Amino acid sequence: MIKPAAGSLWVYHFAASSCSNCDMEILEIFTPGFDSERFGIKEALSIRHADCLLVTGVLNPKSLSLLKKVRGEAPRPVKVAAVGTCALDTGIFRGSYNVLKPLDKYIPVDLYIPGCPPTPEALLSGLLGLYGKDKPGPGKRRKGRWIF
Amino acid sequence: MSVFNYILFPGIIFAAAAGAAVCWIERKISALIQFRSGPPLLQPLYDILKLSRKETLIPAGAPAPVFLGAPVLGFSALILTAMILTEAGAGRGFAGDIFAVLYLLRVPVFSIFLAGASSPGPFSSEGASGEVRVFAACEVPLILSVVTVILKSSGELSLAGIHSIQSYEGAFAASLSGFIAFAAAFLCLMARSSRSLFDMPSSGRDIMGGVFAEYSGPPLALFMLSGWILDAFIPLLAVLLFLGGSGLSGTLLRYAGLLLFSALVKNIFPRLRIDQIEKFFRYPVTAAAAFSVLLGGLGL
Ligand code: SF4
Repeated sequence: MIKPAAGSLWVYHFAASSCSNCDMEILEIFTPGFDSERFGIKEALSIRHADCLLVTGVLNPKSLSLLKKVRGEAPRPVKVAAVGTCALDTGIFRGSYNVLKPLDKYIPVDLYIPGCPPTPEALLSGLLGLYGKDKPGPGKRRKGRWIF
Repeated sequence: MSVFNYILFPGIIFAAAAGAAVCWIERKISALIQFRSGPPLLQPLYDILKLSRKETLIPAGAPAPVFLGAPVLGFSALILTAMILTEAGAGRGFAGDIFAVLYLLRVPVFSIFLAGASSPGPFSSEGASGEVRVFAACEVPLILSVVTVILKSSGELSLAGIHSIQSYEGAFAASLSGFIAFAAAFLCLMARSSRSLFDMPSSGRDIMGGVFAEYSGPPLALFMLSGWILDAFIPLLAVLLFLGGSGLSGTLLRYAGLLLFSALVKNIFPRLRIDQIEKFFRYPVTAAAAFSVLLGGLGL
């Protein structure tokens, strides 16, 4: 049972070489069946609008450098959520030749959503847990980058 | 006009609240059409508050004064528009405010163009050029249909006057020329607020939010607020010009009907391509608006 919550969270979807099942489950939460809009969760299409990065899949050297770049382009405070077993601990791809360590060894992760793939209910209840929390992610604004 | 008027009523706070309410109503209607429950009542407020707490990033290579000035320019012009339209709806106004509104409604287009042109990146430029092309195509029919209204009200130049003439002579949209002008102007106004069929310039899926792709934090919040205010007050302009209605309740009823109609249109029809929009406004709509001027001159 998902508690009613109020707030605004625009999520940006970063697929770091997933098997694309997690990505389909993420799309599922925007559909009428799960209706993430009733909690204020919307899909951000540009990284500049993002409040939370949903990272799916295992990291490899290429996707890690892209992920770091994209996260740097997001306006702070921005949260990072590791979605699926792959992002949590490399899952079924562990030990493959190009697979790096799990996501939280490289960047701070605010939210872990386990499952292979996680259900839309798990995604929604995890995202709702971000409301009203400001730690431990990179919540601070960077010096000299903001005006107002 | 005192500071109270500018800040509270009918200024910034009132216009923003009306815009947020209209935004919520539209999102709720879309949700109900898609069998969802939709956002909570205060969702627009949450969105704005969240954006106002976020960092403002200025992309490398963007001229900061233009990049940050563009949303302020559009927002202030829209606040003035909202104030004039609210005053006119309440029966006050000045001769020629109809031209002031037409002029002020152009400023957001230029603010969006400046925003798109000052952000580096292909999506923003694409959005900006689309916005200007749509603007250029729908400006002539809009002015022609306003000319019809002025002809039909025998030279009345204030919105409040035009509105009150209709309360005892019947709505202009009930006559032939008035109806054609109303249809043309309504389409133009929808295109001007980048709505439903005509929202290609700021489309999310195709060009990643278009001109707004590089905006974050408070400037993005200002752009969102401007969009909502435009959505809220453009139906009011159409009601004042074409639908009349006696008293506050009559006006509000027509306003609500028009709002509902445009929300339904938005949900039913897919969006058009920029070149389709251009062709549509340049030929059939302009011809219809010119025809309505002719009919209006003949007194039909
Ligand atoms: S966690 Fe499972 S479903 Fe998700 S990307 Fe990895 S293998 Fe695919």
